[in-house]
Amino acid sequence: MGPKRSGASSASSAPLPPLSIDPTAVLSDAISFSGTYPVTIGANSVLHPRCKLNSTEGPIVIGSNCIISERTQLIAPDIDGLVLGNYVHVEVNCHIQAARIGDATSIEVGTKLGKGSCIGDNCTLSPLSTIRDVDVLPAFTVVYGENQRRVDASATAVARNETMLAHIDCLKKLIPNKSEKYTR
Amino acid sequence: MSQKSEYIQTETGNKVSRKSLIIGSQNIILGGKTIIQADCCIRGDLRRLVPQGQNAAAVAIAVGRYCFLSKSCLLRPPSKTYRGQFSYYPMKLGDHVFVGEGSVVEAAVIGSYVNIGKNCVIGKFSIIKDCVRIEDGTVIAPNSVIPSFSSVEGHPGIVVEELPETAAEMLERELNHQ
Repeated sequence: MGPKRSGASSASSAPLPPLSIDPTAVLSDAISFSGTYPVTIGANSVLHPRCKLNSTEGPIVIGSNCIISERTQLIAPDIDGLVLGNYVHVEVNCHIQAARIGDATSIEVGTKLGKGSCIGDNCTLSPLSTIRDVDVLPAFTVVYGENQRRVDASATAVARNETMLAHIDCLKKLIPNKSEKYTR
Repeated sequence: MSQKSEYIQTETGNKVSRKSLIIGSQNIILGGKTIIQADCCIRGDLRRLVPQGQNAAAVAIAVGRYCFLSKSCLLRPPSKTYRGQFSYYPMKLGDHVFVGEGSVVEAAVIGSYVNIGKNCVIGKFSIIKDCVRIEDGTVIAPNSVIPSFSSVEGHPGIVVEELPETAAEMLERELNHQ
């Protein structure tokens, strides 16, 4: 956790929130941090350029082996903060105000998670799905089509996590790591 | 139409907004006369990984001529595991392709005369043939193939209508009126 340094984020000149970034995490250029509550990023996680983390209302914790894609906004809903589990894949254009996202959950393009919602482990949210405020999704839920839901019985969680690791390895070769820029 | 100061014009007549975000421009080919609007994001850095010793594949995104990429749309090469190696794969757009505001494109191939509406999601490795119209808010599933002369709508996107033989001219005209 480094001291606050102004001007590190290209989006604003406001001081960065207290950051605790694992040395194996990869943060690309132009990630915007705002707010004053601490942000924790776990081991081996990858943050794409132009993703936004807003910790004005509470802390944000990102687990290990997560991928957060560009233009996604992670907003802590309240003082209890936003907690992402391990192996979470958040795709492009998502707007996330959830309280908790379980392990090995895939959140696809343009998904909106309402304030204080709780997503269980191993869930899949298909593109452009919307979860209402304080909604709770049990583990292995798949949200598809016009907000229909079913239970994922494919038992592919282990294979999925292996693919996630391969994906992260690939991204680590492609995306230059600028995490020291945010921690100085 | 465009303010002179906002756009940079290249030698081949492409107009690229200064407010767009183009990453890995060395891996992107623009065919010419293409317009890229503000907040548009093109991920050329997500290129194909090849085993050591081979020449690195140079092109991540190839865009044809007379394409129009609207505000805040996103072009992102698709990725998958093939023969035990996870990699991104190149993406190809034809000529006269229109991509609407806020759409996310992760297709493998998009043909010519394709009109993609606003806020669409084109899934990974989907193949869109020539003369296709995709309505606003459509979600095309990964790995799907959209045949020529079709109009696609819905979540997931399905072909709702066949386009007439004049579709190419019609779609080109629509693009010119944007």
